[in-house]
Amino acid sequence: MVSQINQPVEVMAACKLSGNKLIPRIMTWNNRIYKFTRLGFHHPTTQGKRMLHVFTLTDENLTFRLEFDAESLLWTLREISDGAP
Amino acid sequence: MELGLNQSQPTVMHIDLNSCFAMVEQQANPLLRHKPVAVTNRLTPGATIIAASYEAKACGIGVGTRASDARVLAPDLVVLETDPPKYTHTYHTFFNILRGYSPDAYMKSIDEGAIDFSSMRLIEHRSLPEIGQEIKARLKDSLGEWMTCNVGVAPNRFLAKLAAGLNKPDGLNVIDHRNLRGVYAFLGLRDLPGINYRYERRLNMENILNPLDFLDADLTTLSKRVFKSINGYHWYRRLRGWEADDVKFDIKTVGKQYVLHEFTNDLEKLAPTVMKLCEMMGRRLRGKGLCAYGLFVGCLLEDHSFWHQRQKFTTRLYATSLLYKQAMRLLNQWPGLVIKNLSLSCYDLAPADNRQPALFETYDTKQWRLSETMDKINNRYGEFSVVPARMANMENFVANKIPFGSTRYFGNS
Repeated sequence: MVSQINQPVEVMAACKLSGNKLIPRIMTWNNRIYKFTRLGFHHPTTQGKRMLHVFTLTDENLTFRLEFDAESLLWTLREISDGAP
Repeated sequence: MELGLNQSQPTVMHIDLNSCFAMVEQQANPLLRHKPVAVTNRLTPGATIIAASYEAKACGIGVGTRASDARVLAPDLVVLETDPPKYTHTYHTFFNILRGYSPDAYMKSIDEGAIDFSSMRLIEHRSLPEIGQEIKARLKDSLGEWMTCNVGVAPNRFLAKLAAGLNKPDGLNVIDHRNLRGVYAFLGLRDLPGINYRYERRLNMENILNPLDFLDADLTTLSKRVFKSINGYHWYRRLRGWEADDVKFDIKTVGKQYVLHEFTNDLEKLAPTVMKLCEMMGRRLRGKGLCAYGLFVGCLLEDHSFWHQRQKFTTRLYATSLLYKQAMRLLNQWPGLVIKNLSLSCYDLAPADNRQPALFETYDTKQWRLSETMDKINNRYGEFSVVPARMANMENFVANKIPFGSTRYFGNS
């Protein structure tokens, strides 16, 4: 089941030189810390000229869709999925 | 005329992403892997499935299955709404991989590409199956470990596509003159790309019951009795591995179709949606530097009939306001029944760069400039940042969905 969240969150990300260059590692949301184990998918998209980077990550219990606004440098948690119908 | 099998070295590669949309969703969300997953344009029980994972296909779910029926076949089915930016990124990444091998790489649809290596010296040093394996590896490196594709190699596009359809998922097959008959022996007529129920019936009437019969049929039977056109000659060549499909198609229409949230026969209620569809259609037209001389309006009605009207104009259709005005004029002729689904499209396209009006053409510079300015604002700040007044306070929006199979709007195929 997918739940829409749309809340700003704090994220710690690793920056690398090759492969996936920016990978969120830890997210703080509602005073709880989530550690991501896998990056499922990253894709850029645009809203007008604003560049947004969308990351889908999992901690093996839930999958999180995070959006990074390259203009405001803010992270937003868009939705959570538990993989169920 | 007798034509033998093409005995040249296979130089055409066809690459097909396996269940593209569903596979991308399983790549993105690892919790969905090994589960039946289906993708629809809307999350409603009546929505049609446009992509199904292999786990869903194993339950009998496929393209065209209604979501409500699919849930009966697989109660644990996960149904997701399409996410166009994800698939657009996949398309561009996939195409960039293919383009790295040859300038003659092109996309046949959002999830199928082909490369013609015949002009490339690359294949003097490497075999196409080796290159195919490399493409598979690069796809995983670029998009993720769950991404797979089927690769087919053959002397022409038809056989390369047929080869890519064998041993799904994650297969790699070569068809050439040595195994061609062996491959045909295991297939039915409708397994051949381009042969549908209608063609199969026509072939059966000439006692052509399977692909081997089709291959052995003479040119006269195919061109004069089965296809009754040059198509017979093209099939005669195609089946034997000769090229018959190297035709490029230009954009002929630009359009938009929409299933209404609320079925209605009140044109006043429908007007904002018509305006929105005209704005989206107009943006696509202007984005391609085109104007139109024809407009088509169609409605699926409550009695399941389809009403439509089309008209050609002497005035160029370019500005949203003019598209809307003409669309409403045509729509006003509809028979009055409740409308469920609306289709609008422009045809008879021409370059828009010649602003000199024809002798009797009325040409409104202000409307052209207004549309172009609105496009610039929407390009900068996002779709529908500024809208015509008719669309103000619209609650429902017409989401941009991937046109199924089409790559015309991606601009580089």
